[in-house]
Amino acid sequence: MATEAPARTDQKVLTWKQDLRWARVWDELARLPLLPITILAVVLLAGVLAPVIAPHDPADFELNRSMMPPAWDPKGSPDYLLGTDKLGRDILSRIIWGARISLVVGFLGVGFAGTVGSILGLAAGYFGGRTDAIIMRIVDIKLSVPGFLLALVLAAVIGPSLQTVIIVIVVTLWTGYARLVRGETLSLKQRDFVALAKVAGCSPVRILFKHILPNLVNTIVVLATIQLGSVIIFEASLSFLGLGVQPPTPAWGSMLADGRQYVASAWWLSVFPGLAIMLMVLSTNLAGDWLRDRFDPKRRQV
Amino acid sequence: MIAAHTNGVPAATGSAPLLQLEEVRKYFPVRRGLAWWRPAGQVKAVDGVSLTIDEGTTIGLVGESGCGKTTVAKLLLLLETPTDGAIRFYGKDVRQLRGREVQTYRQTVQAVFQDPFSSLNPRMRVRDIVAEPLVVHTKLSSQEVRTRVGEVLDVVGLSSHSRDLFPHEFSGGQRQRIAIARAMSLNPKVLVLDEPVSALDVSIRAQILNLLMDIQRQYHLTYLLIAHDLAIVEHVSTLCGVMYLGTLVELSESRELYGNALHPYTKALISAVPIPDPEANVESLPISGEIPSPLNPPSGCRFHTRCPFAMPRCSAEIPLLRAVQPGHQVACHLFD
Repeated sequence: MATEAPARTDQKVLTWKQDLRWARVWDELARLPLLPITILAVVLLAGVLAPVIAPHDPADFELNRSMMPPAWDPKGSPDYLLGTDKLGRDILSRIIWGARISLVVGFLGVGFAGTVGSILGLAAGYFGGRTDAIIMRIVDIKLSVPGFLLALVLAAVIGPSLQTVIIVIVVTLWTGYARLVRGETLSLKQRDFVALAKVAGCSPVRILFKHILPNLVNTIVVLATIQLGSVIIFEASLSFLGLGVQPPTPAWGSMLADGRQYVASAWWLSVFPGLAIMLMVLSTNLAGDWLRDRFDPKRRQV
Repeated sequence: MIAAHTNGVPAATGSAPLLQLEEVRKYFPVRRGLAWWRPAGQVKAVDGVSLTIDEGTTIGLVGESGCGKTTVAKLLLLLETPTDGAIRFYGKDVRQLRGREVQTYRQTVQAVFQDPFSSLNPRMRVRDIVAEPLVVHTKLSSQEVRTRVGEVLDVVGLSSHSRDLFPHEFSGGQRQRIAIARAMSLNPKVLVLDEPVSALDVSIRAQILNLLMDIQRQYHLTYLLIAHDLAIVEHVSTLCGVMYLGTLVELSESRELYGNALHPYTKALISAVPIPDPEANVESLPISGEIPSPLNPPSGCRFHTRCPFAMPRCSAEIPLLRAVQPGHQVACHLFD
């Protein structure tokens, strides 16, 4: 037993190891991508605390103060920091309330799409045969239909609303998860620990959710984070076309659309919601990239 | 120390052996080209293997890679179903086991695999890995499971501190100990050891082998030991079988096999083992060529394409495994 003493770890070594763990946590914190995380946190706070922090009611219109420029313009007012739109509504308040819509659509859309896609992908990869053939043919059919066209048809059929937007997003995005999860499942089920789980008498459900899914969570989370950005763009595009969230509910995409005709005379109507969309999408993408690098041992620097 | 947690293991019924393989065959269909629904051929991974595994023995299976050893293990572990033939558990065909009987079989027959890096789920802690068979099969309370996990970790020589760690925090040898602990948690009767030490450092092999032998003595286990290292099989097993291209070519008591090998293939295998003595005078029997494809195995005796003693009869007639001396079976026309 000279070369490999059985691990009789004594207490000292163990406390040292715990110290090391704290050091690791600190290390991780130091490496967080600060800018994207801050922007996401600000958007998240704005969305959650919208009723508290919004200076005005987003739907409160007053034609007397319509088209006011931002506060730093001589014609602006400090009461309306980012100016007002053609109905005299406060742009800042509308952007803060609009964050809610973006967040709700983003998280629910990605969440449902990820759940549905992952479960179907797991089933297809693990059970193979006919299950696999049927699920993957549905995926292929879905992928052969242009996404935006499908969205337009669905929105037209069901009628535009917040729920429609989420349904459209789930229908559009689940295939990505199904494909990814199926592929990973195919390779994971060849691993010995899955065979040993069968030998231990585990049911297929237990194997899928205790052995395969936990090894896939990283991949799914990375895809979800990266997709969050495109979902927000998608929602904005639908709202821009008037197929998304309906007025008077403020959404970034519809604000952008409203401001489009005044770009030359009142740039603040469209620039601020546009900036909000851009910053939000940019930071989710950066956070997603960071997560992917973080979870991929090959890219991780020790 | 280890209480019998397993329940419902059938008492030995009469003289039926613990496990018995009867002319077991396993063919894998090969699908190629556009007509994927029509098999282009079959890989005859296991082609008519008969073997009786009695309680308390260690049966070694040796052979080149691709000879079907691992498929035999998978068949015994119910990971594959035989194409033909039967595996009998106390006389009952395992394909006829239903519900609780399958669970009983699973509790009785456990396994340790070759690769200690692939056989432990990287996302589970050691305590959950070792406890899983208990959680699946028994209704023990979490406290009882904890106690039992401590017991088996102790049996394999791991401290109870290791229970909270993840597999990546261990070396290959220690991981193999964890795998053995997991296999032992249900107090099984049979361990299928598929190359349990092949992936380990040479200095660790002896430790793990000794551990396996100690456990066997202590808990009266039955082993099916699959290896390509002849020395290990000779050291550990009571009976030893030699496989070539899906068939058993020789089966005998280990010491007899190494002292008095009959089949030309066995002789070649033994003569290929290096002996650390330059003066030693060993009969050298080189065999030429590659192992033929199991997709299209040679007719007659499968070894005749490489056998230095091949006769015309060998390519025409399949030799049957039969006893030429008491307790020594060989499948070769030279001994007819």
